[in-house]
Amino acid sequence: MYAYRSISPLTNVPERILIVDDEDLIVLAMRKYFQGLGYEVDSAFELEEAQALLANYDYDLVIADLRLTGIGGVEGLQIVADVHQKCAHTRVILLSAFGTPEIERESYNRGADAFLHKPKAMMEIAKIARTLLEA
Amino acid sequence: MAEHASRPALVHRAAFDAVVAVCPDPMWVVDAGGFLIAFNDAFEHWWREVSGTVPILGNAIEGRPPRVTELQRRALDGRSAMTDVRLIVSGIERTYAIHAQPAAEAGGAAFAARVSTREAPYVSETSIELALMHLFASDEPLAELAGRALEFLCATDGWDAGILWQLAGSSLRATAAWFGSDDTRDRLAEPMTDLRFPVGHGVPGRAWATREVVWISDILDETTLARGELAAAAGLHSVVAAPLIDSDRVSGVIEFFTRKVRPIDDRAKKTLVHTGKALARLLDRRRLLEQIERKGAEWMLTFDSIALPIMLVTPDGRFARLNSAARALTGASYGELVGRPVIDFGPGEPWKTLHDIVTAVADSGIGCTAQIATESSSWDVTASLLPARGGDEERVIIAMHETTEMIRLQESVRRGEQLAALGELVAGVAHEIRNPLFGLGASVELLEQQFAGNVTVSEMTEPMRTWLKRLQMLADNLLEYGKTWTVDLTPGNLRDVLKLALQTCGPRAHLAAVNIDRDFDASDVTLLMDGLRLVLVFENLIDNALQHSPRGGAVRIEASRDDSSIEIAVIDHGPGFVEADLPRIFEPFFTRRRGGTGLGLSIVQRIIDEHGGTVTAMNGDSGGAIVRVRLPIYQPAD
Repeated sequence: MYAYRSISPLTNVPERILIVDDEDLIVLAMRKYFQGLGYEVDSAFELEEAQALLANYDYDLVIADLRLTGIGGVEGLQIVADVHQKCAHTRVILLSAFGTPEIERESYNRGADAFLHKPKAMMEIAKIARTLLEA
Repeated sequence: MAEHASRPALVHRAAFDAVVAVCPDPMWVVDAGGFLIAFNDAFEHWWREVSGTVPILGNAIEGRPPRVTELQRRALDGRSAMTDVRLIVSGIERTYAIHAQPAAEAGGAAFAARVSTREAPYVSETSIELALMHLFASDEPLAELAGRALEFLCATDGWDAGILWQLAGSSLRATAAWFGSDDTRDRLAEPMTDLRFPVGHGVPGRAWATREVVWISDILDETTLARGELAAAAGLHSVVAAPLIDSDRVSGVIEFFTRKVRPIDDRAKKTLVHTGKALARLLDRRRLLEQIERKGAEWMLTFDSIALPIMLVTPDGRFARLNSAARALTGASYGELVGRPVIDFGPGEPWKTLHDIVTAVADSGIGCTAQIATESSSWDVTASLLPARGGDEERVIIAMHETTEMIRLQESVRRGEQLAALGELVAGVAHEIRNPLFGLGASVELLEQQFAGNVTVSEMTEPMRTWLKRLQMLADNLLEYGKTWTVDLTPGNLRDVLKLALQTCGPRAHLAAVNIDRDFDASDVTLLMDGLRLVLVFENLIDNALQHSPRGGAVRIEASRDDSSIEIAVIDHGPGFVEADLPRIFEPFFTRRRGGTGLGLSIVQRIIDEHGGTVTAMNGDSGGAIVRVRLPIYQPAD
């Protein structure tokens, strides 16, 4: 379970993650899960909140849900764009329960590092996160 | 002359014999004992007609009428004699004057017969008409009948050839002929076929124009005759033509020829006028009859070629007539059906309702429509009343329009619409379920993470994971089933698809200790496909087969193809389908397997539908399940 290191081997400081999802219980579970793995975790429930955090802090990884508002929302794509504009080294994982092949392609075009379909086991997400951070 | 002078008696004898031979009157000589010692050709022919026997030299003439016997006795006694004998020759009764002359020294006597001119040789007009009617009562083709009528008329009135000219368009054309000798036939028959006589032209055309008998005693006197030379060459001299008049209309001409120069004979002319009328009536009636028969045949053919079952039923519910489609419906032959009650085929449908309809229509006199459905077919039925007419009883006419296919299509469209609506709903729900599932899964994993190493917790989270997995599978299947995808088929190889499916199923087969027999080389064909979805089809089918196979068993995948399609069969040796379930196994959520979503085969069917194929399920002869998928082979336009 604790096979992954959460302390950057270069800086020796904990790696910082931002989790964005409009479902507070999902945010809570993920937050605790990644904290449990040793990451420093921030979280946001909506686009503006996430954008504010991204403006002020430097994250190693952002895990964002594609849809943050009602039906048809694709706010996650905006987050991907913002992250890339601000900080090229930050990795982004998009999660979605409604993903279509078109949106998935669009996400990669905008610079997402992974596009995962919900439901996905936390263990697998953590594994992918680790791979991205070490790449 | 010197030569001849040495044998004058012989020369005279030869000349005499020649004269006797060509004499048209029958002549014969008997010796003192009454035995034939000489006769001419005319006698041979005549006697054959009179007695039905062939005269033979040295024999007494047999079967002779009593009066001939009496005559011969008197002649052999040395007296010349003459008697009138009524004889039937060529079917016609005639009176013959027979002369007998005793021979001087040797005994014996010579005889000559001649048609008596004292009594009218004419056959009565009524007898001719009766005889013609008798002829025409036969079923023989018209051309043959006409030929026989001409032969009869020639024989009756002593003509050597007869031709029937009938109106075709604006001219007369020969439609039948009779020739008394092969020679006449050879000379006249062929030129005749191409001859056409417009009104007023030639002897037939003149008879047509004047509406009267045209009688020419000697063709050689006539310079206007087109066939004059021809007829003369055939040795014909007299010609007569009589119009065929029926209801004041000339429908043709009969024309007769004879070798003799025959003077105009008013009595014969009068008979010809009458014969012309009788023949015209008979020919016309015969033509009408043939037309009716042809119309009848045409009608039967039309009736039978209609694909709708049509039946004529008597008011008391018995079959009177059925077209072939209706006969096919009954499964019986025409002979077995006519007169048989409709209800005999019951009590099932459509016979019961048909019987009721017939009764209702016959009772009310008003037509009606109805719908009849059996398990396999359905019809729109129209019934109407054909009122009694002439000598015919009234009939109920039933036309059945099969609507089975139409109803099936309607149902299929309705089912398609329902499925599309259902699919949308299902896919929507499936999507919405994914978020809660993700949240639940995350929470369970968090629990396991926080209480890592705690056996009690892991004992509780283990079943949670199992249920979660099941829910996730259901959501995935629902999504797959409900997906409204855009059909985007591209050419791909079916064998590659099967190999991909087996890559996924291989490990599972290994786990289940089931061997997979691969016999699908024939699947090396190109189809229009959505490759990933087709892989899913075969994964589903092979998975199903694996799940139902006993350990150590085998699942067989075989391919067979024809020109236009390929069939893949997935065969297992498990318990097979419950026979009663077979009609329902492709319905969504229909499953008897615990833990199954009941969507696997529904998804298979949807995807195969999208590929223009069919999927069928059955049990093998020796148990086990067989699912056959048939797909069209891609055939590029060029």
